[in-house]
Amino acid sequence: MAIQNVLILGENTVGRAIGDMMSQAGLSCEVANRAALADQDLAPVDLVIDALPEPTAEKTLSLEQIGRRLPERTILATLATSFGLTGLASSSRRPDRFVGLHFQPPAPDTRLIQIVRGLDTSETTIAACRELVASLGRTAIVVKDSPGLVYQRVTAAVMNEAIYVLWYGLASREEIDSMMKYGANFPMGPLEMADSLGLDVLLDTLEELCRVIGPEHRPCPLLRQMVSAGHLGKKTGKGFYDYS
Amino acid sequence: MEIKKVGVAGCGMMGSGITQICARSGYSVVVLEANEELLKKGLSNIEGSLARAVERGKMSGEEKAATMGRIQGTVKVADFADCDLVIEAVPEDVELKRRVFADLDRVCPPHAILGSNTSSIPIMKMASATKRMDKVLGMHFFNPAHIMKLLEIIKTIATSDETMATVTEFGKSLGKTVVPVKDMPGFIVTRLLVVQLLEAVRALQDGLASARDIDEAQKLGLNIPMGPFEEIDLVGLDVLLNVADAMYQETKDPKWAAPPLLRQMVDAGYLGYKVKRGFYNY
Repeated sequence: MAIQNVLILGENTVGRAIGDMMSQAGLSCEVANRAALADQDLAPVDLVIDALPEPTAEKTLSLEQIGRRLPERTILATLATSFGLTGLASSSRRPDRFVGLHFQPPAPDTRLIQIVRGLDTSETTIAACRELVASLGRTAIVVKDSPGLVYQRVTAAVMNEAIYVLWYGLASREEIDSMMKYGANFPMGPLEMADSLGLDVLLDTLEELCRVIGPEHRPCPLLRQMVSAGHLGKKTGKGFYDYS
Repeated sequence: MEIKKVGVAGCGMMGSGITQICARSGYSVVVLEANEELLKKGLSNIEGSLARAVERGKMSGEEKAATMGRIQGTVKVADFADCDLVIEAVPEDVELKRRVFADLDRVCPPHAILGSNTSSIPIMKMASATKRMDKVLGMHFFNPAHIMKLLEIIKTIATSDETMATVTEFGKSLGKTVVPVKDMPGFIVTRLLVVQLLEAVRALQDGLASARDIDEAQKLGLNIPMGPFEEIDLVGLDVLLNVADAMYQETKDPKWAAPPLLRQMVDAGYLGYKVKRGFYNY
């Protein structure tokens, strides 16, 4: 099935950026709020992307309601990929037509899209998503449903370790960042990367990795302290660096 | 103290790069190998690398000849007798390195500084094999040593400030960015890189995605030139396993416990690019 008609739920920055990406690729795409869903004609929609924030009880409920109203063939995708896609898939009542899509920031300049396969996601659904990503001119990687997927899991480990190195007092923040730039060809040091991502987001990811995968991911106490202090990185003007 | 003559123990991948950058920067270099055959191979690698630099217009034929002229190969450790600094770059084996440091301590002049290019062994293990612990430090170059701009210098609890200052100047004279770090397991770059590489292996082992796809995700997401599996294949799976085991031994922290998949591949002899088979086939 070729995806031609896309509905994005969530009139937020990410939702609009993804909408732009789809429209530029010539797909018919609409960005709407969940409240407007009731008035929407869903018959022509091939794919619904849920761009609402990370999961809550409310989200689970809304996916169930959306799932019920969609035509049989329609694929339901969520951007909430970090925390248990399979659980959301099951509440959508169409687990075979349920998939995670993770657009590597910054959207709409995304180069990488991770397609997340839940336990029951069908091959047909994966194939349709692969085709969609190809038509957007992006690179698709299909990954299993697991905390942090692939990219976030590996980079979270590096950022966490950089914070440990800082906490142990092995080197200064600038030294740590410049070493990874010169020694490992990173375009950005891991502490700068953490500040851009948001320290609260990093902490949540590590907590989940630690809970599901194992203690090798336990977050550095310094990271926890920074989040408690409200120093969340660029977005609050202060993280490992000062942006004020 | 001024460094005029440099010794390099070992002319493998790292030793030959270090020899080359020192000689290119104007130092007289004595490079030691275990036997004539390995020495010949190491020197011809340096010659080949310089020839490529000439082809690319990075240096003239005269400069190449002058650089080779400053390099003296040897198989006798006694030829380090007039060196001001010796950099050890033998395989990552603690006992071997301790023997080399004991030898260096015996033959080198009392003022000479001894540096180790280890990426994971605590420097104090080597320093304690000598009677000059204040003059022993880590000098961690990155592969390829004549190109990568970073030099981590590692201070043990016994290394003197004077030694650190002399080597900092020396590193700058090679055109390196010199960063001092403490003698803690893995120092800094290795530590962060190994976390990245081991996590990639665990993600593969958990069946999250293929090696190729994980590499692609890391390259596109992080904007780095090489994915973790390409990097591991180049470094050598055995080398990564040794580093992880050494870090685990030192810290008992589960994050350094090598994933079984890595150990199986090493047991199977799939060591990476050097044997044409690792996570990829070559």
